[in-house]
Amino acid sequence: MSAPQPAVAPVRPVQNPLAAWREIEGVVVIISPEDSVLHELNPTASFIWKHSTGERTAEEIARLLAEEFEVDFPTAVADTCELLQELQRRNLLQITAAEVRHG
Amino acid sequence: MAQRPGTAPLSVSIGQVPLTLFFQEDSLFEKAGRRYAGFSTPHSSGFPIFLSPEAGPLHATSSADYSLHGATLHVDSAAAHIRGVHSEFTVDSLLRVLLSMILLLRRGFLLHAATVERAGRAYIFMGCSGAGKSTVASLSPSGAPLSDEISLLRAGDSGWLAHGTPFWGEFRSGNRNAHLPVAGIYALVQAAENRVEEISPREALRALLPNVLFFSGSAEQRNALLCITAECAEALPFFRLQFRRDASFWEVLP
Repeated sequence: MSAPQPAVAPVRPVQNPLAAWREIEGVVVIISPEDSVLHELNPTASFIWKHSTGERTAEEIARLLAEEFEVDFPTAVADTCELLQELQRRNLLQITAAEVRHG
Repeated sequence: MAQRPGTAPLSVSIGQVPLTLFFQEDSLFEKAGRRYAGFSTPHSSGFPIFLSPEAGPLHATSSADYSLHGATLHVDSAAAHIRGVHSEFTVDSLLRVLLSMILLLRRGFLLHAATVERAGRAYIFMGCSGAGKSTVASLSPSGAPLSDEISLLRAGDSGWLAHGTPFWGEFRSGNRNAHLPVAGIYALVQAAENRVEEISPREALRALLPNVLFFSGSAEQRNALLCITAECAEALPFFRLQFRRDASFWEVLP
């Protein structure tokens, strides 16, 4: 029997369109809209940021992260959720509820 | 360009950005004329800046507005208006703000830095107030300063150039309107011994951004700022310079 998967809130992260960002030396740097402060993300956070386009849910991003960095899914979920909350707190990111897709 | 009645035009070129200032007060026109004498140009078709002593409204919704000492700067695509201005120092401050906005759209920026010419190249020493910019400029006996406070950098087809500016420390005015290829940019750290180490583009960007003059709240300008400073950080050699307060630091520069 497989281990239970961690529950992830059905949300889609979207980069704040007012935040300027760029990739330099393989990591993302962002200038925040309110105070023009420079934020530097580590490689994992850069990966999550680049996928925060509103297309993917947090869970989908966590699955991609687990594959890319070869970490287990619960760790990827924890990292993704923590980072999304931090970026949202800094107003660099908006988190919207994901539509429930029936299929 | 049509001249408004009662205004006296003063055309200058700073960092190869032509500006034409129209004054309503003769005394302010004369003071500005002296201050920017080294940067004056006979061409009167620069970006127009209309200055008036009457106070004007600040358009709070516009990211291209700025206020200082009761004076307001309003910028649109056709002209800039500085209202409520009575002092050459306020003109000077708002000119820095305006130029920082214009330069971002022309692949350039103003930097809190001293620039010294040596052997035909520009050595740029950046740092916040008290970092030692003026000291470095004064400790360069065989070099010629282009600025001791605010430097101007622009990317061109043949690379990055440092330009002289009239914006010197303590609101003194400079008069060397020259431009030179950049030898290197040095983040100043005062220390007991001289030491220089090259830093990565990411470290360079981290050191550069707090020293760039930036006053806009618009996303477009913020994007332009990040784009041009990152380009600069990747294109030019950056160093951290620990220096003693004497001219010996020149010996360790590459």
